Amino acid sequence: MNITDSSKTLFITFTRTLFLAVFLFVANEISPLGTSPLLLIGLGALGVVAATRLSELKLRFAAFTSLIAISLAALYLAKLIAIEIAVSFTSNALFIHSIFQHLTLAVLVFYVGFVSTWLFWRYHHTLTIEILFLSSIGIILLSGHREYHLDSPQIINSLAWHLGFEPQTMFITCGAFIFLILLLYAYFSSSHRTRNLGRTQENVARQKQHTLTTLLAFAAIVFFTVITGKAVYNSYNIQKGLTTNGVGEAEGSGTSPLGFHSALGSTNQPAALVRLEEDYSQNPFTPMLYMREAALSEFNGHELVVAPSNYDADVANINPGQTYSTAENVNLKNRVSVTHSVYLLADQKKAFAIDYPVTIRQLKNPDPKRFKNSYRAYSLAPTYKLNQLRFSSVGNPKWTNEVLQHYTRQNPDSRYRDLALDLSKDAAAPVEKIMTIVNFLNKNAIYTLTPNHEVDPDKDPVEPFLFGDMRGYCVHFAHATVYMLRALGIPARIATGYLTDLSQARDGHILLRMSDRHAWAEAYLEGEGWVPFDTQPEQVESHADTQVDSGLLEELMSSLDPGEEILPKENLEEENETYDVGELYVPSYNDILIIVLFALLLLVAIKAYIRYSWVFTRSPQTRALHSYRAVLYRLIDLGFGRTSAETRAEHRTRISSSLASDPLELQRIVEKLKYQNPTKIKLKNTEIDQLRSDSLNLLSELSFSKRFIAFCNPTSLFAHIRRQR
Amino acid sequence: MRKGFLFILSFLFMTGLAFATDGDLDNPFFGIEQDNNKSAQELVDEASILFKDERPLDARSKLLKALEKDPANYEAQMLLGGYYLFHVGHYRLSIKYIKQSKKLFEQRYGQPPYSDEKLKNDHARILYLLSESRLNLDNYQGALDTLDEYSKYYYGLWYPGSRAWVLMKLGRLDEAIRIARLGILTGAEPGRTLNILGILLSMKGERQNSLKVFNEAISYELALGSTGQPATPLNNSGEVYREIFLEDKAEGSWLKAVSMPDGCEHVLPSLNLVILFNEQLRFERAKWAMDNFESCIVQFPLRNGEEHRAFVHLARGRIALHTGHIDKALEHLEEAMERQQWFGKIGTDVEDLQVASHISMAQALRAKNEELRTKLDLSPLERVASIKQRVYNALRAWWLMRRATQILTDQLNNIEDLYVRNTDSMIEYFSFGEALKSIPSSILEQRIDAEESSDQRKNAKLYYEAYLIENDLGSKEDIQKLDKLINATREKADEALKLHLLLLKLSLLETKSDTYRKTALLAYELAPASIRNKGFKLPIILHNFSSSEESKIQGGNFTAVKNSPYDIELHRSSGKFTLKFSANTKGVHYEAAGDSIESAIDALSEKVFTE
Repeated sequence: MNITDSSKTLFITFTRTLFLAVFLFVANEISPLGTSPLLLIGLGALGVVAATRLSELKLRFAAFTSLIAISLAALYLAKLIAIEIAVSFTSNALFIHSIFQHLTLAVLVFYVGFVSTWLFWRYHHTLTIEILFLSSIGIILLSGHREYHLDSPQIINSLAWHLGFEPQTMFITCGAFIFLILLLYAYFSSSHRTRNLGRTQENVARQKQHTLTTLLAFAAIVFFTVITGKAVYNSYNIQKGLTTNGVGEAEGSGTSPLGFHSALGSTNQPAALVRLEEDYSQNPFTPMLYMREAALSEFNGHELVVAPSNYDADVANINPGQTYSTAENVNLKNRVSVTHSVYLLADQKKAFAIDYPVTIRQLKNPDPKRFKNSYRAYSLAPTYKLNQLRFSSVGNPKWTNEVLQHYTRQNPDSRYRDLALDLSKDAAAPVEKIMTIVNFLNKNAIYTLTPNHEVDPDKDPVEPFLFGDMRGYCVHFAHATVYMLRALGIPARIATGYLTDLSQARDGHILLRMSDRHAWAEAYLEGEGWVPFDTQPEQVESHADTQVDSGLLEELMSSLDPGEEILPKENLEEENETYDVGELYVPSYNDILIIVLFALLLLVAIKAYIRYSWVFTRSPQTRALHSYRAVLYRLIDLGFGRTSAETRAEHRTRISSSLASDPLELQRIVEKLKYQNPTKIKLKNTEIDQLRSDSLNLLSELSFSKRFIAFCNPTSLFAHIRRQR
Repeated sequence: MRKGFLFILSFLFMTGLAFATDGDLDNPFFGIEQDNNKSAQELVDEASILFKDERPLDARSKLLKALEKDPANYEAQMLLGGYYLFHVGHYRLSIKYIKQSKKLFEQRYGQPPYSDEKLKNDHARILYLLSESRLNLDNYQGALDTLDEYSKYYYGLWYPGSRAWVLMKLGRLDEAIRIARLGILTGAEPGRTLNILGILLSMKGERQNSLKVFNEAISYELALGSTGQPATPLNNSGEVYREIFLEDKAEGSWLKAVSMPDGCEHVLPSLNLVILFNEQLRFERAKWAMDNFESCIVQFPLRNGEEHRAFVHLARGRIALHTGHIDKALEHLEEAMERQQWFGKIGTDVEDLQVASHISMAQALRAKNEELRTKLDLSPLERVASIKQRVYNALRAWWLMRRATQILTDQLNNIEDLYVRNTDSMIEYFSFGEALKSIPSSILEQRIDAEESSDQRKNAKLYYEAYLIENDLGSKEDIQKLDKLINATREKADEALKLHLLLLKLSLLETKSDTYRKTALLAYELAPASIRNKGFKLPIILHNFSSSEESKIQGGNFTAVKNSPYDIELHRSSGKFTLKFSANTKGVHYEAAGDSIESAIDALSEKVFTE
């Protein structure tokens, strides 16, 4: 492939404009610029193009700075004059201030593009500084990850979600993309500098070496991406699962999905959309809603883990694709049926539901591209009032001794018992005792996502929390609560799943994020079942973002609401601000493929036209020009293009010597037409056709495969364009 | 025979019942799936009852089921439209349903008028919902057209109020007032219509009349007892009182509003109280107003979400800023800027909040920079970090002020908020001049001239003059102009403006001059935090300081003078430095200690310049 200097200039100009556009776009996302980003991008691009043109003039630095100073002074003067005129001739001159505010920003962007590009062309070291600057932006972006989730800028997350990428895939893709773009940019930018050095043998060799180095670097990045990607996947999938807030997914009996070291990785990544099909106004935890996924009640001497299937029968413990059904637990008081549908937005190993699910059934997935799975659950949800539970007894009289022992098995560390007894010494009723323990943790412990305790696999991981610095997250709080409750003989366990804020729901639709994953303590109250006794620490050192993406929620709601699909779009005509959030276009893989194929076909079609445009000519003069072009461009396709600083005559000589014949005989006629009076030149179409066919016959001696590849290579068109110029 | 027949019947009935019960047990989704056997109309009827029982989700599910069965059921479309309009606030979806309902209705029954009562009622309801949806989508002309269509055939008690509101939005004030007055005469929803009329009259500049109308609205709502909603007209009347500079009456109205059952959950009276108290430098009371609101809203867990969060953070951020708790202020203001406010109910534009939070945030960032600049106990590395932070803060503050001015000029009708104490605005008017500083003097002068020509309020002129002076501040003559304004400020009501003017004056004075000393002391007495927030120095008498220690303390927020009610005494003992700050007249006493003189000074500054 012969990438010409002009293509490189075009590429560099385009890339610089692209960088500027991305920068402006991100800046606009962070803090709205107030001025149309398109206008700013346009002016920035103008600055880049103007500086590229200006660089050919070889202006000195002093002259360049004077030019900038003069232009700025002129603009300032123009502003003063405009203000004076506006004040004198209009009754409200504020508009001129407004216009100048926009213009100031636009001019600033223009000068950023202009000055940086001029420096780029003028000084070699600018490229190094630019690459360092861009790399640092890339590193800052990537270093902001939390367990391979890139949360900021939010668009990355949204794009990952739209494309159906896992967060870690997006992380790797972003990293590889940034570095590949930088590499390409560095390659083209630095190789371009050889253009002014002439095409000496040494330079050609240097450029070849340069290309080889770049290709090797390219391959190295791809190689390391694949290797790192694998490592990340393994670490992510095997060790952590869908872990966020330290809460992963339960695998089976004897395992624990909870992590004790760090709760980072808590992101706003959407996990599921829950739709309440019925009102649940008696929710005792309003505005919070607990959705249970697993229960950990077996104490393995080290931590709480999932118990064998004969315990915790109230938890469905099924995959989201399975059906579940159990008898309604008639022994429970204060319950109401709540039907709710769950539409999973991320892979989930276990189905979750509100409190006691009685039945879980598959639902037809309304949008398989968007939702991984969907099911409808019917639960018996609690309606008790928390203050009425004050004098409830704990445990279930129907439990066997074995079951009771299972739920009250204590941590052997006697300090849990001592502390629990000390805290609850003034409390009489069991629930009061529970509350004193919960309140103690609320008041004295600090919530943090990064407690960073040393977690020794052979030691109690909760001990450094409760008897140490008291810094921890839900996993620590839940364990500490359960250990202390069990020390008092109260049956307790840990539940995992999602905790969400209903006040952020709309139309009964709740958008669950990964950051909603939670672990909480539960105690068994007679007649009421397992009741959450969750801690709400007063001191919070760090916490996950609590804001729900309301735009996304509305968009997802729209995909479930039949009204959106059934009702005609014309109903929205005539209305203001009725933006259709559901219509955000994100190209699919197929779309991208079609666009790329279409672009390639278009380029090949243009090439075909250039090759055969002589067919449509009548006058011999025009036919000569088109025929010459057809031959010349075929040569360029085959890699025999004119190099920089090469005259047409030199080119012809070079080609003739390479091919041992002269395929550019037509050039003689074209030059005559160009430099003499065309009307005086006698030409016949047959003569031109003969010359063209002779030239093409020469080229047809080359192998078919080489000619075919040359025809299909769309990039050589850029060389054509350069020749056109 | 007859007995036998009855027996068979009862047997069949019981068997059917048994099967039905059995079916219920087997089918846990009975509640939902039994709807499969009902007709669309039955489901619609049930949904209507469920709405009345305040079970909107149950109703929604039934209506969607009804539409599955019969997509041409206009009633289901209508009810769903109403549900999305009033319960969910999803206006785009709401209008789709309502328009579909209208189309289906007219296809089935032709064009109005209709003779059947039910048809009349349904058609009138569809038009009502359509106008409300359009109003919420800011399609005012569309809403008016729908109201026109409605008025051709029907009349409802809500109509005059809604029409007046739409006309107000279209800027047709006279027409709106006429409609509202007619509505009141015909007894159409008097409380709501009177409230709208009061707002219209206030917008028209007839403030006394507007107050009379609001008072009538208040009396009406109070007369309704527990179902009345007097907080809204009380809040509005307070806003008018504040607009005409009757601050005591405004305070009275808002205090009454927050004491009402419907008022404690209403954020606006509390927010207005905070703005008023801040204007009077009564920060304790401002804090109380916010505490009061938050403790009340806790009772409404489902409303304890996003609806008012931005306002609360804005108010709390400002209080923290004015009392010298800059980090807290930055935290709150950051939240205020980030949170999306739901404005559907209270008629304040999102831009009003943006402008207010941008200006306050910029002020807080500048105050933070002053705090960092005067911090003495910093390692070289911390000093570099502090410089970096200050550059960032300065740039961000500049950007936010620029954006605020841009929104004011581009999106808020050529700074409509310049009208001092504009009821829609949440700006702190005493320091609004800071935001107007970037506007060229000649343009601002022209704009203020235009404002003054239409604004006859004497007290407002003080603010306009202050903005003009601040815009072109620099000459010595400005000191006299500022003095004149300071003398013209009213006690209590204009305290914040007075303080702002004093601070402007300080910026023109030499730190060592006697005028500076007097002005700084006056400013400190009004609000201690203001001295540090703006980077000035408090004149103090130093005791027991060596010359190097004296120069160090003067590098912070203090300047040594011979005559001041405040003095600082230095004690050294076993490598510890203790500074005692006292005021000879007021019994103020602060003490701070540190391992170095720098750390002691920093600790003392933290106490002296916070409230």
